[in-house]
Amino acid sequence: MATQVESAQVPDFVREHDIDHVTLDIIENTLSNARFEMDRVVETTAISPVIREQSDQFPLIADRHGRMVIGQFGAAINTILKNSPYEPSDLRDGDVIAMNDPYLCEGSISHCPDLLILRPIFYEDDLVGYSSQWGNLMDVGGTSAGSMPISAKSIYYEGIRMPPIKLYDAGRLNEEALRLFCHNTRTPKMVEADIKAIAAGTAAGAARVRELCARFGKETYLEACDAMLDRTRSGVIDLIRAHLPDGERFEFIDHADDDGLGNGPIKLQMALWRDGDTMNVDWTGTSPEVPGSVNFFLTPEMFKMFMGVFLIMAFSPDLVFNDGYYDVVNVTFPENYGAENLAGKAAKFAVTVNEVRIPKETALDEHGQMVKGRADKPNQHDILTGSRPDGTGFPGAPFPDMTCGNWTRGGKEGSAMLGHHDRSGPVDNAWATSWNSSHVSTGCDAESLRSTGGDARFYCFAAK
Amino acid sequence: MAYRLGVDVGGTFTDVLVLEEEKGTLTLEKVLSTPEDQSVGVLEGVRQACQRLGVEPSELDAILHGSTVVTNLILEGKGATGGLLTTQGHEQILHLARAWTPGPLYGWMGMIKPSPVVELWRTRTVSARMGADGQAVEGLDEAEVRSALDELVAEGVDSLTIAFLNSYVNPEHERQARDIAQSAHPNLPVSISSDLVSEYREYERTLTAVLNAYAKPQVAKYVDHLESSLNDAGFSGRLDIVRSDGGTMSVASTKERPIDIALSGPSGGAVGAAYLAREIDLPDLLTIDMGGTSTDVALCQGGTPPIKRDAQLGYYQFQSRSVDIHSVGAGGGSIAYLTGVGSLRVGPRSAGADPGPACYGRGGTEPTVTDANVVLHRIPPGAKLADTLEIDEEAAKAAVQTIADGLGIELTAAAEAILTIANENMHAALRVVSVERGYDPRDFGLIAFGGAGPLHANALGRLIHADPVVIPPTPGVLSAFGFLASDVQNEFARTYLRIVEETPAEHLHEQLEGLASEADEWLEREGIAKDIRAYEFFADCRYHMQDIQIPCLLELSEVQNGYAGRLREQFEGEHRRRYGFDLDVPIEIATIRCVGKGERPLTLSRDDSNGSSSGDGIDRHEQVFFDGEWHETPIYERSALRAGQVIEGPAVIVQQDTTAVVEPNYSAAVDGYSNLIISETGRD
Repeated sequence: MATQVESAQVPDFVREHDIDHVTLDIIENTLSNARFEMDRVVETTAISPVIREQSDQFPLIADRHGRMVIGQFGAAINTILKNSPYEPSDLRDGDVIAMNDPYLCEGSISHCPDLLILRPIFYEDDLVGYSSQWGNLMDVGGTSAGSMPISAKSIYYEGIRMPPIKLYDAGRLNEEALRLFCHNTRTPKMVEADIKAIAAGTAAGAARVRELCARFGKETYLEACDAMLDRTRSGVIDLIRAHLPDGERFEFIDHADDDGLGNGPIKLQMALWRDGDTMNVDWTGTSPEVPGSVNFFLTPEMFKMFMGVFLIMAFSPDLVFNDGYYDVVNVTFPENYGAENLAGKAAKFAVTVNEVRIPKETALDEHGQMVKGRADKPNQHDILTGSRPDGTGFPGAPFPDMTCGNWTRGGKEGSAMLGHHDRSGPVDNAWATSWNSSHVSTGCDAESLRSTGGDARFYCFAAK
Repeated sequence: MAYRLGVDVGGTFTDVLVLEEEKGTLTLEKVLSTPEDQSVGVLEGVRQACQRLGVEPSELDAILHGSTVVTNLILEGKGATGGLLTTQGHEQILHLARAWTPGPLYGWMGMIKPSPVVELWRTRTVSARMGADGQAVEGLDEAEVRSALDELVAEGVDSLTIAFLNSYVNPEHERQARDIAQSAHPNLPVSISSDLVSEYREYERTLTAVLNAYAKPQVAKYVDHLESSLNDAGFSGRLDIVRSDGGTMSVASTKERPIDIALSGPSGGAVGAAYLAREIDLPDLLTIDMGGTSTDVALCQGGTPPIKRDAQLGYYQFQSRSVDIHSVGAGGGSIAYLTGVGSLRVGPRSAGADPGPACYGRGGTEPTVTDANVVLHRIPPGAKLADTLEIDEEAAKAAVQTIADGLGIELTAAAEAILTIANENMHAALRVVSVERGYDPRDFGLIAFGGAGPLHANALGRLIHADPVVIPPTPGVLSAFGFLASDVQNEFARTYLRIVEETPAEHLHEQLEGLASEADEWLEREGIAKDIRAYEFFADCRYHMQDIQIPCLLELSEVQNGYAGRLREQFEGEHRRRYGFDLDVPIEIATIRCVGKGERPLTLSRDDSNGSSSGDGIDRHEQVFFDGEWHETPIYERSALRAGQVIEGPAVIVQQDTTAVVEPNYSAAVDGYSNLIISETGRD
């Protein structure tokens, strides 16, 4: 039995918008600049090199309903508030909510080292939106330094978890809570500085939103938020229609070897198809949770976020990335996925959406780009090996030579054995899909090699 | 009579500005650039400028030259075939680079990391090892170096980098290896990392040295050729090349450290703006240099150009002192377009110089910022671009009409929308260098230059609340002007890494003096007279374990007992201003530096007469579009304006190489140096 997450009704922001076109463009440009300003504030002031150098911090600005209008990650603002003692009506100017539990924010953060800050934005005493940002702290305690224990069997191995609390209450820092949290980490000073840096990032975003309200009026600003969501929704529909043929079903299966604790292989199965304006993704068939730390806590909303950001950035990077399109993506997860389970789980990285790319990413070139495989043109999946399936060399005379005369021949005579980096072979036998021994070339000169395996990037010769 | 000449090579024009030192007057000459060999344009410019002034090249005392030779060869990947000799185990240091990607989550999708400047197969290693404490763990084996070098030379290497681990602590091995290379292969140019960057950060130090080697052969050829051609023309003065930090250095130094001229051109604008800031007593200025494809902004405080200690060119972020300029892809040639969902965007794609904006009439059809200015008559009918190019107003209208049609609005509204979005993009850039670094733009004026800057200056000042807005007399050639105001300078730095409170003043003082004597030796070699030498000292500090470094200016005489408290105060004040908080953590001096200068004073002539009538210089009237309607607007000729004159907006002021706009409710005063000083009317 699978749980189907039904697509919502057409959202309220899909309508005519009472806003001047140029004003909307200015607000859109300004919010886009504000989002990069939030990045810069955090990246220049943070101490954690994970934030500073790897940009493992993500900002967003949401509307007053908690929908991201610009930014970088899934805004589970309503879920965070639901998991806190606060209603939106309890929030005041200067409040800052902090938390680091992936299970209390729909997986907006994927493990405990990610500290998330949520700041309501007020203009003339009215809630006009939220700014939110998270960053990967150096350490939050737990069984290993850095708080990413590969031997973890539950989230408690990762360290201290903060539920959504008011870190600042109407502008006043809750120093006791901060001290308690920092004391439970191996790098208390760094963590304190980094939490303050993230809070400063959200303050920069909030300031820009208030400036926009002052410049164009609160009502115009709120209308612009709706119009931006609507724009992105129609842009994503265009992308779905342009890149997914209607009715065709794309399926993918791959396996992760194991979870590091001996459990596996772990199957990942996904199907993708378009139905009118709607993109459907079904993960049915994917293995259930495993005890080791390779589970990725992915909710339908988070997966919609991933689908959208990759779709937009790959095909239409000037489209603003926001939550507007969520009703045109349907995501189905197997029931045993555990998304609703708030008990201790090891929420970890390894099985991420990136793994969808495994069949091609088996081979990367010197720039880290994928080497083309069987489904691509030109097909560059061949590896010149001269080897048997187990990776050892062929025995030599009197048996046929499989190495183009120990790599000395250059004519039509002779042949060499080839393997395939994408593990797809002429037949489905283990040897044929191996890296080592899939088929032979029809000759040893450049032309024969190119047509039967020379248009490739790798060689890998047997040592014995 | 003494003459000083500044020459700046741009994409289209080579600008030449000659200063008559005693009178303080300037003469401008513009000639076409010659990209295949810049020196041809430079020589032609020098010749024509001398002719215009009626002097011989032999009468010039100094030529200060901003060159894009290094910039271009790095960006275009056309440098030397380099070889790298490094420490065993560190062959892949250029591949390791930094973990930086352009933006999280999706940045890696579109990023293609360029191949390193030196390929792995032209990299060799030595087993010599210098410890982090400066003690040799294993000595340098001469035979090993020789055979590695022979291999590299056989590979076709024509420029060599030597960059060893920990050489910033003890450069002995690098120097030995250089000596071996020079004796074995006397014609092979060698760059050693410790000569260029004597600080920690192995990747940046190696990259800087490798880029230096990459530029070396071509730069040597270029400056030698230029110098001998100038000498042939009779010039016998001092030829200096402008550095990325806005200072200058001799041809000999340029040939040794060409990487330090990688951002030669843009630095001049900021130096020129800082000079004017001091002259007109507005020491705190935002600067905006708007060209065809991009706009450079910077923040000058206290009349000095902002300096940083790293530089970025394309993908490469290396260690070289440079003017701190933030660049954004918004210029006169930036193209306006509608996205798939109808959002209006302007830039970063640009029509460039060819075909250029539609109004150039050279076949461009896409609407640009310049076209929008033409449609609204901010560039008035009959004006010529760069003094020669006729404007094709119909072509501009046709181009902007495509946006109007797409948005379903009037042509003029579409043109205003394009300008508004372009201004917002530049506004964002100005915020990056001001608000985001803890400065309040209301405390600053704004100075605009570049071909397109004066068209947008008033609007930008209004948007960011900077007051007043200054438009210099020669906005199109402010870089060349900056060269005239620049000093001979170089920086000598050392990694220090000591906690302030634990470091006795005597130790710091002694180390700084050591740096000063290095600077002094360099100035001596540059031929700088003792009486014009000057030194600045810095301690770059941070909270222990931070990665940033905040420069703190030191007076050598004040580095004595009790200096630590003052330094902490200075550092924390700056940290609070930039980042809004301070920490209860020890402060570390990461780097100590000495900047040695040979000062080159500049005095401009000044017209203190006052009281011209405001009607002077009106050439004609035109309809110009502001705030949703056409206004009957006077068009002034800049050269006819007189000191003391006040121009009420709306007004348009045309001159040889640019057009300035004064908006309604603003007025422009002409000061004694012929600057236009724009302020809100009725405001002090």
